[in-house]
Order: sequence, then structure tokens, then C-alpha cells
Amino acid sequence: MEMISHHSSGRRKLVYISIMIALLAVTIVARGVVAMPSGVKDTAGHWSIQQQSERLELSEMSQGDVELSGAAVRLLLTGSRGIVVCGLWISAQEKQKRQEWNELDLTVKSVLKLQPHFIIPWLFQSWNLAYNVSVQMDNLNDMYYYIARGIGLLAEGESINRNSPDMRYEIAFYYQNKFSVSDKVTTLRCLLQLSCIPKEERDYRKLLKGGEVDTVAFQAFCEKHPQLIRRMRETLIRYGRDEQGEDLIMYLAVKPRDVVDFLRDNEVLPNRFNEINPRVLETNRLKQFPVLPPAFYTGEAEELNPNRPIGDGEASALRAARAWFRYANEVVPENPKDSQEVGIPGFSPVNYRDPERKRRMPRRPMLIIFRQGPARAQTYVAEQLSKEGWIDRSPWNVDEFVDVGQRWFKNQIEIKPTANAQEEWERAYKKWWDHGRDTGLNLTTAELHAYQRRAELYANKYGFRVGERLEPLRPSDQRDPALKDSYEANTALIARARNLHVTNYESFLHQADAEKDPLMARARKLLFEAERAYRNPITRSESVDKYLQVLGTQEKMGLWGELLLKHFRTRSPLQKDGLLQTASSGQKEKILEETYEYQIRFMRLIRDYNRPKLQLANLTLFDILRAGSPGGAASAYHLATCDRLLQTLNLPALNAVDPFFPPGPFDGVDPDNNLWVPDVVKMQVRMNMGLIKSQPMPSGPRGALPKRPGVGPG
Amino acid sequence: MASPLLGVMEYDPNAPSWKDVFFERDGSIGGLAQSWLQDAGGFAAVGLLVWVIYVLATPSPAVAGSRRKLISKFMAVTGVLALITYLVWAGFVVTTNIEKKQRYEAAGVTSEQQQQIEKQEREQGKQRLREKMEQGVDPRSFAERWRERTLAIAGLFALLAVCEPFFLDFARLRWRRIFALAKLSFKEAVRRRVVWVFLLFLIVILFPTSWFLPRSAKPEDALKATINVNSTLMTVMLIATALLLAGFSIPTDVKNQTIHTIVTKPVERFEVVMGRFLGYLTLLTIALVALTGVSLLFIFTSNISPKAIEESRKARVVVYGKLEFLKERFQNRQRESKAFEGIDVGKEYSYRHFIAGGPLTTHRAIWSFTDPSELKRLAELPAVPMQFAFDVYRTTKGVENKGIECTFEMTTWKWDAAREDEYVKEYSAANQKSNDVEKAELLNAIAEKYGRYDHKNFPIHDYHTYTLNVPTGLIRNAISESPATESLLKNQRGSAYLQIKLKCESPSQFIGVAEYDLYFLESEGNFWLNYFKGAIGLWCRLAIVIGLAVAASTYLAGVVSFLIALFLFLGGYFQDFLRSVASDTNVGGGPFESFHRLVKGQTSAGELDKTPTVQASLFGDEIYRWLLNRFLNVVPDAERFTWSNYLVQGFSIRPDFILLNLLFLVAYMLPWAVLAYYLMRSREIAA
Repeated sequence: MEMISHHSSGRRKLVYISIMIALLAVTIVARGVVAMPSGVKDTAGHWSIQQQSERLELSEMSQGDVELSGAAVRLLLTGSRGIVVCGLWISAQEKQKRQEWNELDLTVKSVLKLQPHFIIPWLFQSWNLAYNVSVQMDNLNDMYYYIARGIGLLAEGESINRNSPDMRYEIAFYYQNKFSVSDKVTTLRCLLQLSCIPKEERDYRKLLKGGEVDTVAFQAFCEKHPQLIRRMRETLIRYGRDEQGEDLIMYLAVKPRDVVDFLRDNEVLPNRFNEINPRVLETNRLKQFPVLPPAFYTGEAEELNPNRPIGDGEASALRAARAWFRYANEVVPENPKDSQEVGIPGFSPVNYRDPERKRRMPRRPMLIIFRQGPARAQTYVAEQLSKEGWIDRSPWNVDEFVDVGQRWFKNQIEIKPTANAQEEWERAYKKWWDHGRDTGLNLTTAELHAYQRRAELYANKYGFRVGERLEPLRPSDQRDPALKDSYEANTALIARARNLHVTNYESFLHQADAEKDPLMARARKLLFEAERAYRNPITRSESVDKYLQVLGTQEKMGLWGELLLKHFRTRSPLQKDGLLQTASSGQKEKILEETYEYQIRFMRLIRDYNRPKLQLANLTLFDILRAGSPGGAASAYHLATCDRLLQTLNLPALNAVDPFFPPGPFDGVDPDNNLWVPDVVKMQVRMNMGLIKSQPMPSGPRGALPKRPGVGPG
Repeated sequence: MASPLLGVMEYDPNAPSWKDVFFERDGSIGGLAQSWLQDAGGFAAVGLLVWVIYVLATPSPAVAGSRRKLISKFMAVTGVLALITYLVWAGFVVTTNIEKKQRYEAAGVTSEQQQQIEKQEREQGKQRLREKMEQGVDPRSFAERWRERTLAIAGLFALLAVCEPFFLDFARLRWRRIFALAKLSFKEAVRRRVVWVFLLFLIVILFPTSWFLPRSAKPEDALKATINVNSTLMTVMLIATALLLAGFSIPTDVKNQTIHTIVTKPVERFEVVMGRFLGYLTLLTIALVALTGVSLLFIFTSNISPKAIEESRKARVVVYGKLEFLKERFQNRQRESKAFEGIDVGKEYSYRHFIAGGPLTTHRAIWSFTDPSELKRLAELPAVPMQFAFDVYRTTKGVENKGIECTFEMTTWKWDAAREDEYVKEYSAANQKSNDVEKAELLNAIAEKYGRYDHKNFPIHDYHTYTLNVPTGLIRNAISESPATESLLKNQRGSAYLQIKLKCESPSQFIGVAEYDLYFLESEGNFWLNYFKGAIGLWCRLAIVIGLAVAASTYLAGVVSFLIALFLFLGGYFQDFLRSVASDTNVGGGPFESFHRLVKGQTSAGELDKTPTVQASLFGDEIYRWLLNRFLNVVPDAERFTWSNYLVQGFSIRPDFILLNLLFLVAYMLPWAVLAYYLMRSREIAA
């Protein structure tokens, strides 16, 4: 009995061992660990776990950079990761509620390390830091830190989740949004610029000598960083209104000492340099701020990248945004092209699946808007330079239009620009043009007619006009190649019309075309100088002259009138070239609003400029009338009393004529006898400037007009 | 406790003090001891009842013969006394309910309004009562006051009855035997590799946080992040080790029958429990001390930003004042003040209250320093650093890169408002001096002469700590004489020797303050010593966990003991939430109501129709809440022993604070020890 039992036990062990060996062999094959003989290699290899994970990009390595400490913690937590993540998430929200920012930062990082391949938490928490947390900071250095943290966090997520268009696009958007339209943007731009300067170079101590500003060192600093200095010196910041309703204004730097103080206060901030050796760039690009995508294109100088220094002319968040937008476009589906390499207009692909898994559909925005990111960022770059006075290649006179007592240097110092708007507008124009050609938004008349001809067959068959109806292709029509081709042409036309409508493409192209015109650059420069000159009472006459040169009078057309006729009437150069068949009404309205705004400012300036003369004339006339009236001016004493009284009475009366404007240069008609600016636009501008209260719009070609996005004064 | 601002501790405003142990806020007898007697006594009464039923219901003649032994005369007498007192308490409950009903009827309150009022009472009742009592007013009726006291007395009797055998046997315990058992537990635990595995992990993860989570904190916050992470990880790992060791100890002994070799010796059974508890506690104490030392070593040797060292690597010893808010205006050169609660600017977290800014604002935040002995210590300093960090709420963008301006007006009880002009003249003249030393000396002399010192238009940003040196002369002025109580500065919360008034000068901006946002820095203690003091908090939690697990393991299986101890301990971290569910103040109601809402797809805040299902759900929740309230009484207050915030913010942990918390620890552990005693005693090990 015992023998039988012994035998069966030995047999059982043998069976177990055999099963174990067999299972091990199967797993080795299934995992794809060993090389297979050539006959079975393809089939077995194709279905092996290793091959599948590589093909479907499921392994940690193929999804992006591997983060070891996070992976170790994830393994340690075994199956309880979900519970821990939920707990940490709740804890993060609680910490945010209690304003425990440093702990929030840490908790968020822990959550993301534990679930690194979930995109939404990265997007959510980076937004949270860059927007919700940063605005809680009263100190702008702190605000900047949390914006940098938000962007840096998302960049880190992007590196772990390779080929995510959404993350790349959001990084670009954060840069563009936080450094161009957000509150307190002037300081934030300056801080970003400081982040690109080596610590040694921006050491405030080097600008001091015996406790005072060292003019020589300061001048050298200004010459090396003109954009930073000019922004601090000239960019007007409005921070509220006084009791009289007048704007309260300030500049970041009124005197050189303010620049030094700014450097001192912001000595510590996120930057691009190594912590231990701050002279060299940080080798880990994710530790740099501004964080940039790797050099993914051929021409290194084309976009910012983490391997090269960023000079004064390039230290802009908008350029970083452009690089990220472009990087994002590398991983979205390519626009199909025709035989002539021109993009075929189309809708966003549905159920898109790249066989190589390199390209993905973004969650938002719609694909056509997504694609225009780089061009849009380039427009912002040009607009920003234009607003800050870097309009053309002419140098910046640091103390121009400044009183002797407020000058920074004894001599007139002129600093060459490190970048200028005119060149950037040319680049913008090229980018918009190429984007239009690549996506089929910008078609020549001949190309458009070709589409229309092709579409006629299908439209005629079903009795509608070309480009009028969008419907699925009927199964019966799929067999007919001609009909199918005609259907596709019809769909392309509809898609193009829709894409033009949603992207405002023509307006952007039109704007870039007009702004790159040297005549426009001249007008912009004169207007910028006029604004600057106006701020100093002593140079106001110069301001009037410059305004007159640009805006002209009703009798004599100025530069602006010429530009309007050249670019924004029927004789647009783009239309003459046979492109942009539809009128770019958006851009036209924008420029007309801008025109009228300039006019209002100009008329105010004239009024203010002439106010003393007007007052004097008014008082004199009144006194004469008074003296001439029966029993009025019997004595000199009486006349003097009248004078003071009149002054007191008349000043507020003169101040109260704001809503009323005498006719300006654009209140009349152009040489073609059309109104320069329609009444509906005038009304809108006055409302925008707070001169009149909002009221029902008069009937016109359009109801609500879009808000002016930023070019021009203001 | 949390830490939203740098260099500022955020305390529980109702944190107990030594005085609160035996007295109410109005000075009458009661306090935490009364609450403890009510809770522990309640459980003791239930235990006593169970014990009596068990003894009486046992039919065995052998056992019946020993009934007299199992229920002693003392136990019987105190038990009867407890019963009588509970009946008196029930009478007070009925009386107070009748009183309440009469009040409602007199006021014409409907039943729905009544429910609303009672809900509000549950939410804010305790806080309001505390505030009122702080002002020396007890709004409770005679029946209400005595209802609480009789419940405590009844609890005391019940406890005496239950604890009698425990204390009698306690006298028979011998430390020599306990020590031997503890030594055995220690050796066994050391041999179990689980301890070493956990400790090895810990040593790795105690490295500075920046190694694992780079750029996850601002340079000045680097040390805070490291301390926070270290403290959290040490807590998790040591608690897990403690649970594993303690939960499985006695059950393993029983399973392996090794316990027979012990209980057959002349050893008290409770000595086994004590031995296990002390053995494991000793082992983990050694581990805790070693790990704290390693962690400190990493902190001192790692490359931490000088800003972080300046911010956090210190142990501030501070003097706090009492905060109140006033609306103050001048009428015919006379100040008129009116108390208010500060403005709620709508922030989700309402720990801080705000004062409005502007040159003409009437809002003031006032800190009153009432303890002359504290001020005397400050008067010995060459200059007294006043540190503060406030929250800022802007309603307009304000000037870029410029902080909100604050003005501090500091006055002692000797300040005479009639001398205002004289003071202003001298103060202005002193401020004109260009020599800083001379200026400081003059201002010091003026402060001592008049009992007043001003600091005007000090710019601040939020989330930053600022320091202002206050002339010692001002403090000397405050303590130069022993004033009569009526001559001291009066406020809502007592009489003050020194007051600091804060005014926000920036128009349309608000400053948010809490009591502990401003303090005098008396001295700076030793950081490493403070770090070890911080570890005592974790030690207390380890003691709780080991105690719970050992107590549970006297009767239950190892896994069950482990889970019960874990469940109870974790419950301590969710006390706020549990309390809100137990008091029906959470959003969405109890579990039955929430389930009903989920099924019906209703929002958590929507009104429910009074259908039979809803009524049934609400009734179910009532029962659940009653049970949860009982459960809350056994859940340890784990948050109370989390002191890492003191280390993070760089504040010294006071010895009296440590002692008070040790008292709470003993108070919590004592009922569990009694329970373990009974369970171990009733367990048939040797059978």
C-alpha cells in the first residue's frame, strides 16, 4: 500500500514538473523572448507579446520616456494603485481649497507619477497650476513660478506620452495665452526674458557701483537686452481709474534703478540654466524654462530649441508657442494633397487610425484650427513686436520724447533692434500662405473652377447647386468613378467654405499681407511715435505732426488713407493675384475700427493740445461781451471777477464734450465717394471706448462686430 | 492642521489646552474629562451589562458557584449607583426635551422649522456654545447643564465597576515578568524579516524628495517638501510594520501553541498583553529614533537652498495674541469701536477673515497680548521681532510688482489718547533721522515713553513671511507696572497689556488674517531637537496602533485583528467626514439617502419628496448615524498626533503640548487596556 502511494506521489510530481516545463516553453514562445526558426518566425513573432507590444506601442519605452522612480512606486503599490491615486487626488483638491500650494504641487506630482499614461490628469493639473493656482499669487514672481510649473508639468507628461497632439497643443496654448492676453502680461514677459538670460549676466550687483547705478554697465546691459529694457521703460500699464475716471498708468521702469531693483527682486526664478553651473544650459530639457520641444526639424535656427541659447530678439513665449504648435502638427493626420501638391480641402477625418501609430486626431480644437497654430502664433509674434515699438529695422532712441531730467543717459543712445515686426509679418504672411496651400483654403481661381467643374456632374444628377448640399455617397454611386470624383469635389468645396468660415483664414492672410507693406510699417511707426510723444507735454506738437502725417485731414489724405485704399478696398493685391475670391470682411472691419479709434484719439489730442488757446479765446470773448453789455464793466475790478468766475464755470463745460467730436479725417468719403468708416463701426468703437453706453445697433450689414484683437493703439 | 502660508502655523482654533481638560471655557467644572467619562463610561456600562448577563445566564454549577467571585460587592454597588445615575440622567433628558418643546411652541415654530433649527444646532451649536462660554456666559439651562454632569457621573460609576478587577489585578503585575515577555516579543519581531524589509525600503525613500520628485517645490519650499514626504512615508511604513507585528502576535502564539508554555507559568494573563505591547513598542521606538536620525542626517547633508534653510530649518518659539475684528472710526477726536466678525470674501476655505482696505477704512484686525509673563520674556530681547504672513484678496489689479500696504498701530494699556499730538510730533521727528541707529534708539525711547509704536505703509504679498522689529521699549512700557484689571485694554476676549492694530491702506484690496498669522518671535530653538520632538507624534500613533492590534488579537484571529486596528486607525484620518455624516451635516445625507438619490438620479442638494421610500431611507440613516456616533467614540484622533506641520513651518513644539497629547493618548488607551484584560481573561487558552 505504501509502495503504491509512493509511486503515485512520484508520478504526480513528474506530471507537475512536465506541465511547468511545457508552460514555461509556451510562455517563452508567446512572449517572443527567443528567436524562432524561419518557418514559424513570422506567424509566431507577429502574435508574440513582445512584437504586439512594440507594434501597438504598449510598452513603457514605446510610449515615451521611462520614469524609473514612478515605475518602482507603481510596482510597490501592486493592486492598490487606484485607491492611492483616488486618495491623492482628493487630497490635492483639499490642499488647493486650503491654499497649501507647495503641498498641492507635490501631491499632484505624485498622482501623475502613479498614472503617467492618463492624459487627462496631466492636462487638468497643469491647467490648474498655470491658471487657477497662479492667479492666487499676489507676487508676480510667484505667479510666474506657478505658470512655469503648469507648463513644465505638461511638458513632462508629454515626454512620457509621446505623440500626444493634445498635450503639445495645450503647452503651446498656455504659452500663447498666459503671455499675450492674460493680466499683468508686461511683467510676465519680462520675467520670461530673464529666464533666458544666464544668471551671471542678469546679476544686479554688476550694474551697481558704490550703491549707485553704473551707467556704463547699465548701457551695455540695455544694448544687449533692448526688448526687455524697452518693454520696462515704454510699455504703458493701466491698473485702474482714479476718482475722476482717468486711467491710472505706470511703467515698470521710470529710472535705471527700477531696472536694477527688478533684477534684484527676480533674481531667483525658473530658468534655462544648470543649477550647479548656471553658465551652461541645463542638459535635461524638461528642467529648463521656457521648456521647449526637442529639435525636431532640420533647420536649427528656425525654431527655439533646448540646445541653443535664446537671445533678446527671440526670448518670447510666443516663439515658444510657435515651436510647440509646430511640434504638435507633426503628430496629427496629414492633409491629403492632389497631384500638384496642393492640399485638398476636407473635413476632420472620422475614426482615423494611423497604421504606424505616429499620428493621432486631437481631442480639440477641430483639426483645421489645430493646423493653423504656428501661423497664428507667428502673427502674435509680429503684433507684439509692433506694439512694443520694434516696427522696422530702425534703432531705438532710449531717451526720445523724454524730458532732460528723466533721461537715462547723458548722450543720445540708439540701440539696434534684435527683431522687428516687419520681418516677422513677412514670415507670418509666408506661414499663412503655406498653411492655406497645404490645407486647400487658399486656392487660385483656376483651381477653384476646376473643383466646381468636377462637382457639377454630381450636383446636376441630384438637382442642387454646386457646394450646396452635403450628403453621404450613395452605394450605387460608388461604383461610378466619375460620379465618385464629382462627389468628392463637391464635398471639398463645402469643406473649404466651412473651414474658411471657422478659421477666419482670409482675414489673417490679408492682415499679414497689409502689415508687411513698408508703407504700413511707416504708418505704424509714426503712430507709435505720436503716442510716445503725446505722453510728454513738451513734445505734443511733434505728436500732432506725426498724427497728421498718418491720418491726414479731410482735405488731404494721409498715409492711412492710402493704406486703406490699397489693402482694404476692392483693389486688394491678393484679389488681383486671383486668390481669395471672397471678400475678407473680418479684416476690413477690424482695420476700420482701428482707423476710427485712431481718429478719436487724434481728435482728443487736438482738443487737449488746443485747449489753453480755446479757453483763452473763450474767456476773452466772454469778457468783451460782458464789458460791452450795459453797466457790465464799469470797473476793472468787476471785469477781473468775471474772468475768474468764467474760468471756474467754463472748465468743466469744456471737459464735458467727450461724446462730441468735430469731423475728423475719416468722417467724410473716400475718392470713390464711399464712406471711409460706416456709422455702425463708429458706434461700435465709441461703445468699446466707453464714450457712449451700449444701445441697440442701427441696422447695417452686420449685427455684432468682432472685438478688435489688439493691433493698434490701446 | 494645515499650512497654507509660509512661516505661519494654522492651528485648530478650538484646540484644547490644559485648562480645557477639567474646566469649561467659562471656568466651570467639566471639560474634556467630563466628555471622556461620558464616552468611556457609556462603553463601560454596556460592558458591565454584558458581563452581568453573561454571569447570570451561565447555567453551569461550577460557574454559578463562582458568580459571587465574578461580580464583587464593589462592582455590584457601583453598578447600581451607575444605574440610578443613568435614570436621573434620563430624567434630565426628558426635562430638557419638554423645555425645548415649550420654547418652540411659545415661539410658534413649525415642525419643519424645528428640524431646520436642530440641523443648524448640530452644525454650529458646539462652536456657538464655546464662543459664548469664552465670554463668560453659559446659555444652557440648569437641566441641560446637569444632564451633561449626571451622564459623566454615571459613566464614572460604570467605569469604577468595570475597572475594579482590572485595577486589583494590576497590583499583581510584576515589571520583571513583563520585561521578560517584552524582551521575548522584541527578539521574535527582530527574527521576523518583515521588519527589516520595511526598514530597508524606508532608508531608501528617506533621501531628499528632490531626488524622486525633482522640481516639485519652489526652492524655498524644498525642505518643507522633504519633511512632508519623509513624515508621510515613515508613518505609512512604520504603521504597516506595527500592524503586522502586533496583529498577528498572540494569534500566532495560540496557533503554534507556544502560548501554553507561558500561561502555564505563574504569569498574569494581562502581563502577556503588556509584554507584547511594550516589546513591539520598544522595537518600533528604536526604529523610529534611528530613522529620524537618518532622515535628519540627509537633511543636514543634502544640498538645500539657503532660502529653504532660512524659511524652515528652525524652531521658532513664539508668543501669540488673541484676535478680534473692529470697525473703528473717529468722532470728534474720539475713537468709536464696534466689534464684527471680519469679512468673508467668498473663499471656499474660511479659516481667515478679511478686512477692507483704504485710507479711510474703519476695519481693523486687533491682536491682544494678555499674558504679562510672556511679555516679560520678550522685554529681555534687544529688539522684538514681530513676524506675520497674511492672505491678500484683490478686487482690482493694483500696481504691478507692488504689495498691499499695511499699517500697524501698537499700543499698551498705558497709552493716553490725549497725548496723541505730542506723540505724533515726536514720532515724525524721529522718523526724519537719517542715521538708522539713532532713529531706532529714538523710536525705542518714544515707544517706552508713550506706550505706542506705529509702523506705516508696510508693503506685503501673500504667501510670504515678513519680520518687523518692534522696539523693546514698547514691551517694557506694557509691563513696567502692575495695573489694576480695569485699567487694562478691554476687548471681547479679555484684558490686554498690549494690542496691535492692523489696517490695510490699499484701497479696494482686502487682507485676510487669522489669530496665528501674527506673533512675536521669542527665540529660535534647536531644529534637530524639534525634529525628534516631532517624531513623538508618530510614536503616539504607533502606540495606538500596537495597542489596538494587541487588544483585538487577544480574542480575534490575526487577520481580523490587523484589519480592525487598520480600520479604526484610518478612521482617525477621516474624522471630519465621519462627524459630518454622523451629525447629518454632509451634502447628500446618509448612505440610504445617498443610495436613493443615486438610483433616482437626483442631485445631492435637491429637496426630496416625502414618499414612503424616502421616509424609510431617512429612518435607516437615523439608525446608521446613531451607530456611527458610537463608532466615532472608539476611533482614535490620529490627526491630533500629526505634528509634522510644526517641523515644516519651523515652529518649536512646546513641552506642555507634548504632555497634553500624551495624556490624551493614555486616556484613549485605557479603555482598550481594560477590554484586552477582560478578553484575555475570558479566553480559554489552556483548555
